[in-house]
Amino acid sequence: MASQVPSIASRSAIPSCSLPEDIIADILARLPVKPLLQFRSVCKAWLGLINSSRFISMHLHFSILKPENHSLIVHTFQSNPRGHTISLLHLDSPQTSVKLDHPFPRFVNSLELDVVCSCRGLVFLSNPPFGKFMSLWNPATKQSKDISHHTITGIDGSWGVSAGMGFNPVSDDYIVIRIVFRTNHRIRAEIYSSNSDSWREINVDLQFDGIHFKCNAIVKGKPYWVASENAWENHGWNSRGIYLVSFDVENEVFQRVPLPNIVENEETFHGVMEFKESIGVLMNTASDDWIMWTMDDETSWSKKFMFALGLNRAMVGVLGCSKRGYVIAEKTTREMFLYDAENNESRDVLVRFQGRVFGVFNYTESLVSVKGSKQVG
Amino acid sequence: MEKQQTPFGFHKLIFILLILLSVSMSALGRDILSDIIELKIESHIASGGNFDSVTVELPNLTGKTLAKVIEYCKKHEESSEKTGELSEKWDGEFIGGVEVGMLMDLFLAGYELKIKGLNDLAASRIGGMMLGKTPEEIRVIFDIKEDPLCKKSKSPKEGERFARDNPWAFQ
Repeated sequence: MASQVPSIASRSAIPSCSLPEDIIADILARLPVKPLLQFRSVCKAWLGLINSSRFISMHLHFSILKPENHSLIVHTFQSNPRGHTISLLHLDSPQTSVKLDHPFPRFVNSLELDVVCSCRGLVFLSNPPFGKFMSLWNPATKQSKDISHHTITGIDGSWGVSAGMGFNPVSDDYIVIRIVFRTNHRIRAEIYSSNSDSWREINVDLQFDGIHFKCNAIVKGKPYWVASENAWENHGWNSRGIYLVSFDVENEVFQRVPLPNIVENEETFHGVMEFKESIGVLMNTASDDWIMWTMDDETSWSKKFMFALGLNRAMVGVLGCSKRGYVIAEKTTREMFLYDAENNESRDVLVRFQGRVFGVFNYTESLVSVKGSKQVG
Repeated sequence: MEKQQTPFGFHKLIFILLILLSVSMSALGRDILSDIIELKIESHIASGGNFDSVTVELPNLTGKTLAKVIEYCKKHEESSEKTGELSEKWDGEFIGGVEVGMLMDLFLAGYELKIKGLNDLAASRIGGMMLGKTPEEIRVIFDIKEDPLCKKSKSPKEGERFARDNPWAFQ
């Protein structure tokens, strides 16, 4: 085969041995992860290039631009045989679902493993409710980094831990935030930096109670949590007491983000998700319609669109939004489907899963690697 | 008064071509030559009539490649004027029809003249040709002589270690 492949370089005006690295990078950055891992063995120059952080960022930049690279990480749990399944679901046809080898196959009980989020090709796994074990996993390179060496270990007076992840573009640093909620409502928080491979506790000025064991969305590298005042005392919540908390990764501060001003009793809070690179809040109306609000700047919300899935609210749940902005919904029959809510038309039925869907995350493969990662499986 | 900028795209290219003319004139066909003269006037007007102070770094391109680049730019200028949309089908046929050496030349032309669409189109095509190839085949395509990671005489351990650590990448 090799001899039939004509040489690009020998017929080009510029011989390949003098092709600048930038030119090679411009071609390679458009390739998927798997061939790039193979091409590291082409020559030393290519190995150095493909492993460089500048190339990894450039590759990710191209990956994000291509709609065909957008896929979903789907976390399901089935009771027989008992265990968690994490699959990669390609949205474009042909739709394929591939079961992935993840770093925590030993956790087989339903509440033992949680996929927290996915950010720039890394998938963050945690072990609720206290996040005793945590891992940053790159399914494309099949590498994972154990980050369970956090510093706040005592769980006295604590009722739970919520974890989140973010990206600091200034220092090119992937961070993990671990918030420890305590019964006295004074939270403690620590962050892990992939650059320094260490955890450190940070000062917290904003006090809040999270209502989930993980961040609810990441937009442009910034994690958001749904929070409420004294959620723990109420053992539940309603839309009145809920707001959002974001974490400013560069300045390491939590910020309170109020929800849109909704008319009492007409809309109830369903969830928060990324919608086309801004933070979106999904509300339900009494007549089973759905309303998506998005934040246009740091302060104001606007009503993006209203849609009806044509099903009773008890029959259907919205899991999130795809990169293209389609609503990902699940019927109680465990069928997942895409819905183009902006144009009010149903897209394809995606797939029918064996177990319960625990979470769906937008995913774009990348070469991003955390120092000290190990091969999975 | 601030000098009026030449619009980015075809005009910019023609601008560069004007400077190139003396180099590549003989290689260009008659049609393209007349196009250039026509566009010389247009772009002269568009730029406020002053070319004197412009310096452009010239890529090392043959007349044949320039003719292809002009074909690409003309088509894209036309279709963006008419419909505002570029034809993916036309792009596919355009890039699919060129031989490998020309493909690399078009990529370099797109890269150096900063014609983003052409750069993307050619780079993606080259990338597509690389898919499914082994590192050895890639070395042939890119005429890469050295092979330190696999050649036993140079560094056998490095190559073996690489294959051992990443067995799945070679499946």
